[in-house]
Amino acid sequence: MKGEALLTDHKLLVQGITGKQGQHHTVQMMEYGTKVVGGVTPGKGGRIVNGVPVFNDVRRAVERTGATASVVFVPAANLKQAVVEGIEAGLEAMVIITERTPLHDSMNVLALARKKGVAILGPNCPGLCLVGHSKVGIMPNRIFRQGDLAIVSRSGTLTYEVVQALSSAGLGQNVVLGLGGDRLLGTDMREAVEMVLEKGPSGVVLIGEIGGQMEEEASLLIKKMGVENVFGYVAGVSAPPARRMGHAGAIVSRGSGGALDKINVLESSGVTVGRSLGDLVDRISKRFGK
Amino acid sequence: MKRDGMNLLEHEAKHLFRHYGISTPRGLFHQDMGGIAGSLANLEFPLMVKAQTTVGGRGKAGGIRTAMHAQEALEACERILGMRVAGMKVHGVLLEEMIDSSKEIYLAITIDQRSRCPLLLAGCAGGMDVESMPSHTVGRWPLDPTEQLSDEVLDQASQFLLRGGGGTNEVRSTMGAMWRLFRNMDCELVEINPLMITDSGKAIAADAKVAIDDDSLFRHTEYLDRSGRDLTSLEKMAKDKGFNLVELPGDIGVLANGAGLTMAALDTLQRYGGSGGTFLDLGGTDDPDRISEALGLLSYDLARGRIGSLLVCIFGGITRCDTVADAMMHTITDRNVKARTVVRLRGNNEEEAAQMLRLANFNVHIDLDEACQQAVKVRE
Repeated sequence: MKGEALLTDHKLLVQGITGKQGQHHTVQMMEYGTKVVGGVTPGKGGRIVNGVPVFNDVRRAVERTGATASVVFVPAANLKQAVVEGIEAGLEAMVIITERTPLHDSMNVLALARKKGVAILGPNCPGLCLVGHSKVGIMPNRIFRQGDLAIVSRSGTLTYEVVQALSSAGLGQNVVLGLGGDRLLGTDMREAVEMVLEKGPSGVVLIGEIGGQMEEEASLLIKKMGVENVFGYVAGVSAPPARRMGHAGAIVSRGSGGALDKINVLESSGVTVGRSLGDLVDRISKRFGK
Repeated sequence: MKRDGMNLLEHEAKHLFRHYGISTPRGLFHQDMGGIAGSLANLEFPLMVKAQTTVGGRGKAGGIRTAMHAQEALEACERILGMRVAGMKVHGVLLEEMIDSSKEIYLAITIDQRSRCPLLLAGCAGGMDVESMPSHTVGRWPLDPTEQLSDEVLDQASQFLLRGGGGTNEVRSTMGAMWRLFRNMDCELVEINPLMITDSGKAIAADAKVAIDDDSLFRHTEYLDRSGRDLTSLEKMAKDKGFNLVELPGDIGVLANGAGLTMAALDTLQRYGGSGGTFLDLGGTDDPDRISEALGLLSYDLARGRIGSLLVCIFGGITRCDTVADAMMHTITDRNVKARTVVRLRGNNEEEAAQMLRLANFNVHIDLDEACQQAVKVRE
């Protein structure tokens, strides 16, 4: 797993650049300072969108622009093809925004990416921000404030909430990673924690939710490494069992994946868990506030 | 086993099994009592009479019965068709001939979240919950999703299950068929519990569980009509509009953008003694038109009295909050609906938006805790 490839400034391609979302966020990313060097939409090569050239396929785009990463906005039905193209063209990292990708397609492209050593964030993720340098994906530009906290999250808007509240409280961030809401993710919470620790943050904030075992696995790592200043929040304490709560990955099944279990495991690993969003920010402020 | 996706009924799963070459007992499916008497003449007793549901737990609920003769079978059918399992409707009854077996085993292919790979599970005993089987009796083989099922895995799994005894070939071919079905049909789970091994070495699937990934249904359009058959009318309306809506037992409707934020709002309500009546997730969007559409659904739920108040919780990331506020003012004009609605907006221009809504007599907050307290207070 070449996780560090995600936390680097890249020459970025936008796959699906001619769509509504692709166009809008290309402008936003460029405004933030990201080096967007081109876009890919099959059949629309030769155009210029938002001042960058559009290519028919990733290979050609990489040859002409020297791109090393991409952000993917293509519709779910075309996602597999788009990611396979990116992997085969030699990209180092890919961030997949696309929602509702068929599970088997995710499974297949993630297996291929692992074999080829390509780092993937998502699918169904808001992307990432290296605060003050570059942003890949759809997070709002204005919420960030430069600092040295690292945020790792399974949720989109919940991340924006927390980041904005931290920024307002004067608590800046250096990296914000949105892992995505799907069951199968290119980068899971444990891997993300390992990655962001390399950046030497003053503290790490984990935003989890019901479903799966990601928070538990991250807890084990935190405990083993004796990482300090880790804060957490887990959404879904009130969620009923066996119902999928919006995200494909957010489901409590057979007594596993419940929020309270996750909170207990995090706390037993030394993580300070906020009982509400306000409580989370208060606890971080208390530790780092000036 | 975990069943997340669109769960097929047993008789539908068995139809797929036969198509892929997995043997099933002789049986007939009926949606209602019509024609059952005729079917009984074509089947050999004793029979199993099995409730067809998309949720587990039918055995404990009395949804699986045996019948020695026609009268018993008819009575069992009538009972089963009138029952609910875990609150869900019974979609029909499957009448099946009983199998005489010398051994029962467990087989499943599922997806392991941690390794992001398919996993073959093989259990030496069948008929019980795999999670309650002693761990040394269950073998696990991670599979490469991009490859064929290897001979090595087939050898190891069949050896583990049967120690070279009768039925080895049939069990091998059953596993191969399960793998083809799993891949071709975008399955989250293919499970046979139990697989019966007869004295003559035949392998017959006495039960069948197949869950198909909802997000793959665009390439399995013949199953589109089966997803959502257990939804409530409100959930169906929301699904048709492309929203994630889960009806909950409480009385406060919650509408938010993003699954995590919606859950966080429901959790916060609970802290203040409230209880959510809907989980309505707009997705990450803050598009005013989508918000208006979703508000329409919850206004309807409010009007019919299933919920008593409404909490709208939006993070304006792409759209400015004042644009969202403007859309809300145009959507919610009814005085009674407005009186029972609490709005909580954060993001760009949150102060301006709050001011606008306040002037239009909306109960509006920037703080989530305050908004939740209000939503508990204003409900009827």
